[in-house]
Amino acid sequence: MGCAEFGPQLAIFRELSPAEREQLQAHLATCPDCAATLVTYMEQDRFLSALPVLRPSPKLRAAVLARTVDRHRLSRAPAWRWASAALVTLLVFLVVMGGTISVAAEALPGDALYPVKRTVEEVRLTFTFNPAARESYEQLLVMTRLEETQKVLQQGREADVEFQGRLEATTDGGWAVEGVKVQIAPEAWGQTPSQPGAVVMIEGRAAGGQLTARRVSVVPPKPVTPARRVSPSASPQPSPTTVPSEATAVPTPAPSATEQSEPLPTPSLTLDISPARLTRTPRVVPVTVEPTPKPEDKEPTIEPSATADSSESPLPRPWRTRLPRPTVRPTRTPTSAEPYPLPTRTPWVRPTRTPRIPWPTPKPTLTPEASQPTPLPTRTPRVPWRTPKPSPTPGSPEPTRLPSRTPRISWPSPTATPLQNQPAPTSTPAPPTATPERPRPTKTPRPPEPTPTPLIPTPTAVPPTATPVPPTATPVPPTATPQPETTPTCPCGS
Amino acid sequence: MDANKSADLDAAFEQLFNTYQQPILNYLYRLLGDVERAEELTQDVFLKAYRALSGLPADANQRAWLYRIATNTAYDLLRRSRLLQWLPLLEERELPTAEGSPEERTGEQQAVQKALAQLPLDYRAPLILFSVQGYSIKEIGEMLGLSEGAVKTRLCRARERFREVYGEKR
Repeated sequence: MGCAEFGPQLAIFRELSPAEREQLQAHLATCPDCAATLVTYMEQDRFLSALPVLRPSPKLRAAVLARTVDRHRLSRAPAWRWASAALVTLLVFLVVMGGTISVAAEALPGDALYPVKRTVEEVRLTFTFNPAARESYEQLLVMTRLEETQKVLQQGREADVEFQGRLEATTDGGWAVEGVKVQIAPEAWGQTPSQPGAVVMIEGRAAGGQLTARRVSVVPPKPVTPARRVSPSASPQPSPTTVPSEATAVPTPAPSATEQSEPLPTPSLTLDISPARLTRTPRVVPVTVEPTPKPEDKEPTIEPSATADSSESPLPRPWRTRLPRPTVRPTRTPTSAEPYPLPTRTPWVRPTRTPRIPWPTPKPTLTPEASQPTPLPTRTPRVPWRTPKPSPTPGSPEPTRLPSRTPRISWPSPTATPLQNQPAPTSTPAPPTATPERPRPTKTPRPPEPTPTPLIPTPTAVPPTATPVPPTATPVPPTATPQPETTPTCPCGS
Repeated sequence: MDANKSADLDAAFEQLFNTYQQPILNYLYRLLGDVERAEELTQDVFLKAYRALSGLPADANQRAWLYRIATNTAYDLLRRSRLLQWLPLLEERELPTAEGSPEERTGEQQAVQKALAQLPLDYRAPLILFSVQGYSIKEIGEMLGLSEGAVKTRLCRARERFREVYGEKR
């Protein structure tokens, strides 16, 4: 055999049988070229086997198993597993959605869930096909917007709000819409053609308890708040559910010439009753009032101070009184021929709103110092004159209005005062500031005790501040009361 | 029944993968000279094996069958990417070094890898399988679908060619 025959065996010398190896070794002993070739091949094997060995990365294993075994394991999962997984997912979704919607129902403008609330309302309104139910729901939404606005204003939040309601009053600077004070932004002034009574849509920004309208539009009266006007002849009777004491009387700002220059459109008594309000607070406005209330009854009417306030404020009365329920709007002064008499307890009392009624006119008959100019004690002495209850003088400084009436509070006689046994004059609270302002008839003899007549409650004309005399002014028998000890409470030193 | 068979098949494949993932990866790395490509082709090889495992006879040589899949996959890739375009890339890349300390790295390893890359595919695979992987001629014949004589011939020519290329580099 020659080198050509042993050549292939050199390449696979590892695979040779023992017999072939012996033959090859015999040839290599005589052939140095073939021996060198064998050495070269053995070095090749050594070099090739010494090459670095790679280790498979974990990514390779994960990728292969994910595309083979794991996928098949998932696909072989029983159907009930898929169904249960889908059911659990659905339940979780429903629970989360339900919780979100229920929480969003209480959201206010500016809250994160408020859009959810509005969306739910829109969806519900969309799928309300019954016209009556749809209209009812729309009314509810109108009231909801109004309540949201009121809450936002009460909480002083800052948010964009919108609501619609009846325009109750307009001034140069703002409106009163359903009891909500609205400042009209300058850009919205061109959109304010409404007169009081119209239903308007207000879109604006609430911040710090103030609402500034950016957009104002008039809403067609049909769908919103159909107000029912009742003529005075109708004279609504109070139903059994009437709550007279909670009725709020809102005088129309028109009657007062000092408050509003525009005359009222119609001199009629109107009763605006919103159906939505009636459903929420079923109250009826008391048109007729009992003529003889108890003396200690708190008067729900407008007090004289209210008149002063209304004259100070550029806004009419409705700005300060919220109107949560139907209101009575007397648009003109009722006469004696009207179905209800001049109300003494009704909110609308004409005399009380005219502060210029000269009830504090000079009182020459009662005091010898009639020539002394009488400061108007109509407003200021109201507060301090109530405090000295033990004042024994029931003298009435207002002879023009109540000449024959006793003061509302029956002042006790000096002998009957419990201060007799109280030596400490400081225990009696002294009127702090109002006493020196009032004319002090210190030397005036005590007027004769007026005849006690039945107390006629004319709350509008009888402010309690006008009747009593300062306790220090009345000469009291020294044996009856420790008068010298009580007088030092007067700051003027008399 | 089918579920059990499928589970058995998955178990067999998982065992096959655990056993041969490293040899196949190194074989492909020797053939291609690129680690990333070797890993990608390893994934492809085992995916093909997984799809074809159910049709494999029970008495078949799984190792030879798997190497044949790997060889054919590598051939397909090299044919698609044109070997002439692939070789210059190999020249520019730094070959992975041996494990261990830097002293173990020798220039001969890089020279050997470059010499391998210059061998024709028909010669490269038998030489790697015989010299690096240590398989027999018969097994290599099964892996490559060749007769033992063809394997011997290709192996002899591969050695001669390698000696030429490697001798020139040295």
